[in-house]
Amino acid sequence: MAVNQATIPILKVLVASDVPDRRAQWMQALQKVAVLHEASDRSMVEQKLTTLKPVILLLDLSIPDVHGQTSLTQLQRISPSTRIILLTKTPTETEGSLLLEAGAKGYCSTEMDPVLLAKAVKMVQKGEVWVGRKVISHLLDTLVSLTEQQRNRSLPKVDPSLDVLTPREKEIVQQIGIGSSNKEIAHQLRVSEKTVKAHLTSIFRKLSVTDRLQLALYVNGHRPSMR
Amino acid sequence: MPPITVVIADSDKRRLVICGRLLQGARGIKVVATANTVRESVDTAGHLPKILLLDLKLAVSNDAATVPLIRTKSPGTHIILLSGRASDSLVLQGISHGARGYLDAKLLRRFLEKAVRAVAAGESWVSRAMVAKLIDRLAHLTVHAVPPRRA
Repeated sequence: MAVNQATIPILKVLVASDVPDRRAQWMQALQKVAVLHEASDRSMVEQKLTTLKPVILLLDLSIPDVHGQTSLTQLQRISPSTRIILLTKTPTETEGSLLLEAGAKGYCSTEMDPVLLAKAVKMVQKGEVWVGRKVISHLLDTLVSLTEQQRNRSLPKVDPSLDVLTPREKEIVQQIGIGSSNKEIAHQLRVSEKTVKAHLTSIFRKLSVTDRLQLALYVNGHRPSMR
Repeated sequence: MPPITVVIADSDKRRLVICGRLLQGARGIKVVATANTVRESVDTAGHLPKILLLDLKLAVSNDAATVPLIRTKSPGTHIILLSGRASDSLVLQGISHGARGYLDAKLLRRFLEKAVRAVAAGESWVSRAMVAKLIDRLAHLTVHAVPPRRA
């Protein structure tokens, strides 16, 4: 197996904070890991982003004129290849989610252990995202909520009565509601799978649902609230 | 302290047995039921287990209704998907419907007990690579979502 003979790329990291002690601490944590550059205010960050195009920008959100998402987007435009890790004194799940969705590659506390900071930088350099457990859980919750919203939007707004269905169709709907497969339904009702599928087509049409998932949720009482 | 109750729902009977064995000796964890099909999985949700280990194949069949059905039947149950070969998009689908984590079959021996305890404690169990995909999916959905009403 041929080994890549290219030289190891120099990891350029721009460390930006308006708090000198913090900056010094981060520089020390990373001195073995990267070639470091500093910035202490917004315009310096912009200038060095332009000239250096660092692989990573460690950005303290306490810097004046650095406001969350808007600033993140602006800075990303200056150097799209730079991965931005944001640090804040009081991390929150909501802010973390927002910033990560907007393209930040990391979101952590300014009080983070220096050893972990070095690890975070290495991870982000490899192409991963660095984020705490609580933020991950929040991201999951948000994803589930949005998925549900999207799903509910595609359900029929008006509640058609199940009476539009034949007795046999109602039986089938009930089976779907407990998770039965077509095979199981066919067995239960003593008909062929083909027959079950034909019934399903009719049921979907009558209830204006597009798939089994919608039908199953429908049966189990999941309907969007009437607007 | 009540034990962490677990249901194992797996179409792969061999893997089901392995999971059972791995959790058998674990202190404070109790396997209360097992299932092989989607219907059985939904049925065993009736035990209201703290954790339901769910075969990814079962999760995505029946138009991916399994996870939502289980969550409707037992909202307090946390689902951990058991995934086989590389199936990131399917795992993501399961997570989007409410699973709290997933475990690759290869990592069962090393992490099953740990994952069960972590998720039972309220955490999620996803790899960092999956987090990145999660964020992508979220960003995509957010663009198309209805903006929240301002208070």
